[in-house]
Amino acid sequence: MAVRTKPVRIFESDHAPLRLLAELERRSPQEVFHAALAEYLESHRDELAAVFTETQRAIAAGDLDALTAQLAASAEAQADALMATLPESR
Amino acid sequence: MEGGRGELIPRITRRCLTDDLGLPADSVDLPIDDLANASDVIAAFRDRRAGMGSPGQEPIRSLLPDVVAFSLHVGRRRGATWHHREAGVIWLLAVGYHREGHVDDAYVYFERLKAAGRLLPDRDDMLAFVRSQGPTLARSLLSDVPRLVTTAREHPGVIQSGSIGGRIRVRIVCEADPAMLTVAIGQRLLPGEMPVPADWLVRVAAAFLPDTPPERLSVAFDLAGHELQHDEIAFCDFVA
Repeated sequence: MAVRTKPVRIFESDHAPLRLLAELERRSPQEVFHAALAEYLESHRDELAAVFTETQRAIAAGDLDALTAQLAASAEAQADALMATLPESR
Repeated sequence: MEGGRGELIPRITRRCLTDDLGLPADSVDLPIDDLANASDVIAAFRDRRAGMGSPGQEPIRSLLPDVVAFSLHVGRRRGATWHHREAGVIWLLAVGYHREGHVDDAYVYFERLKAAGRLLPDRDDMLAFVRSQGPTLARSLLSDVPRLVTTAREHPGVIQSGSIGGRIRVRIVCEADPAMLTVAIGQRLLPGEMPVPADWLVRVAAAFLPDTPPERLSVAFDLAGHELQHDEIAFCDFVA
């Protein structure tokens, strides 16, 4: 396991259960979080696999249009994120 | 020129293209070089702002402090350019004629646009900008990634660096015995400060690991024993 750490902000209400689990299992909160994330990744592998596989297919076919369309899937969310960075004066 | 070599990405708002420069609305989708051929103001914008990576020198005082835009001089015309730092974009917001003391003076016009909430890019401008990146990234996934993989295989254990479409930083290494390929992907879009969308990270990983079944895709915590950089996420798999 990586020993370097970074601060992560969690919801205040999650702090107590995280500490409880850590103490019960005699692990650090970081270890519990790491394990929980690994389990989450595993249980959501289908979403990841769908994106991964459709990209591999487009690349294998050399399909530039399909790849371009796939890359546009998150365009709306990206546009919203960029709008949120504009100065308030707008 | 669409960014990628450290310069700012040049974009022009649709309102500016149509209302100020008289170009059709769909010209927002044209490459900057094509637009520069249609307008000397756009050519100057491309060469003096985006190409130089310079937001400008002379701030337009009437727009301060909310919008730190800079004046672009092209003959009697003035352009208002604005560096959208988070996006890594230099925007041409508006163009007008400089007529000192006149109600139609460019700087008065810019101020009116700001007051009306029409100066800065709108959501359609942002969407057009984001979508304009797709073809460049897609071409890079198809052409640059195989080149990087080939180089990495030819030099086992040596970290190769590159970028996807000039916007996503990647480092790749191929270890021998057993042969394992690891790709580390920067999570910040270049230029700018925005995060790489999660699906783009997965798509880049897929391009580097085209034969990896998704259930075998693993997250890596180092790059051939070297620490990952602070904003990287890495994926790996054994390769034939």
